[in-house]
Amino acid sequence: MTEAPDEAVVARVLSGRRDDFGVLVGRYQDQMLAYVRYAGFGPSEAADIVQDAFVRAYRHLGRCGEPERFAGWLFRIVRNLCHSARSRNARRRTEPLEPHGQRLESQLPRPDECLEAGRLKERVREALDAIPDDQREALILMYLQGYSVGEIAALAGTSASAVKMRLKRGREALKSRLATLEADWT
Amino acid sequence: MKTKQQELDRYLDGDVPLAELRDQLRLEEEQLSRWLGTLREDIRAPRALREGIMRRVAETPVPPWKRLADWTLRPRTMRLTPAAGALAVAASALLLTLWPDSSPPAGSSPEPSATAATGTTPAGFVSTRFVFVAPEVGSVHVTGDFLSWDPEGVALEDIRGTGIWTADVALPPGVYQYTFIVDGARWQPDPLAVSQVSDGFGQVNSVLIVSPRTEA
Repeated sequence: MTEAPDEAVVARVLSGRRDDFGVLVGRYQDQMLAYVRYAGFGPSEAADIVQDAFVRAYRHLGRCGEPERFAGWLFRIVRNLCHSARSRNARRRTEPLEPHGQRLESQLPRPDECLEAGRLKERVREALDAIPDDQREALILMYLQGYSVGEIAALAGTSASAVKMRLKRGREALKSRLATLEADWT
Repeated sequence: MKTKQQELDRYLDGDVPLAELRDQLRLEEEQLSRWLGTLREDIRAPRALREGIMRRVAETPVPPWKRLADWTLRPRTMRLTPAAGALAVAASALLLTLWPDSSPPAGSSPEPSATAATGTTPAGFVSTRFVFVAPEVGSVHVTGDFLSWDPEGVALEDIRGTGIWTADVALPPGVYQYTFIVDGARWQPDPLAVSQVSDGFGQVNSVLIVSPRTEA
């Protein structure tokens, strides 16, 4: 069975079928939540941001200029809310390095491995947080969420050439910030 | 022989697989993936998230008038023939000539269109306020023939975070064409400008008429 395209679902919601908005929620909540988490927010705050974004999208759905590009429109709401939250938090970092949940004792890495991995992750997180928003966004979408340049351009509402420029600058920025981590980056 | 940048471009376009990149680029790419990979997790939205969203949606009825207002305010691309555009400009100019005291009162609420307002400006210039209403966007700039269509333009600010973006630009009296740049990429005419004209390349520009400032 073919899924209704976004523009058809948007039209149904606008016609008063409010529950159909759940189709759009189901379709995009995972990727939006993943983006917000990778942008550096903890599970609780990330969920709040995504929830606020969807509710805001619902309230302003009539102003979604291109319903067939609902995902990009929603993504830009998410991105703006991330930006606001980041400003509000003043780059506060509260997320623990290890994900939530318990692991079996036998699955735990040795303390030295855990420390090394934790430090690396922390350094990468710091470096990613320190680069400009648009570069971080492009790197996250490509390297952590697996989007192509064209898909990132559609989501971010910009051109493919702009995305490539952001990726190049982001690579260079990360390279300079993490150069001391490993000697084989030349 | 392709340069490193060209090769990277082709890789980012998906035209060249990782394995075929020159050694240095491939190592850099693998290193970047390894570093960023330390942040990767299996992230899935919990059931409670969707339930919470739909609960709030249910508590947020959007009345028909709001939908109508949104539909009315939704920016659209309007296409005019040059003749119709010229006619509109002429009609607007005539209207302003017949109604010279049309500067808005101080402290008036911003409107989603470019309007002239008095302000401290160089002699012969008129402070012109550009206003664009867009709650969901990250940035808005204005550019036009008064800036030689500089793609950077002048940044509008959403000072109160309400989605009302404004910028004041001092311009000498005259007729100008302009457009807004939304999120750094989308060129969008002012939906409530006095008129719109085709730029001859398939896009539409908005028309702004700056009248000489009338002294009280």
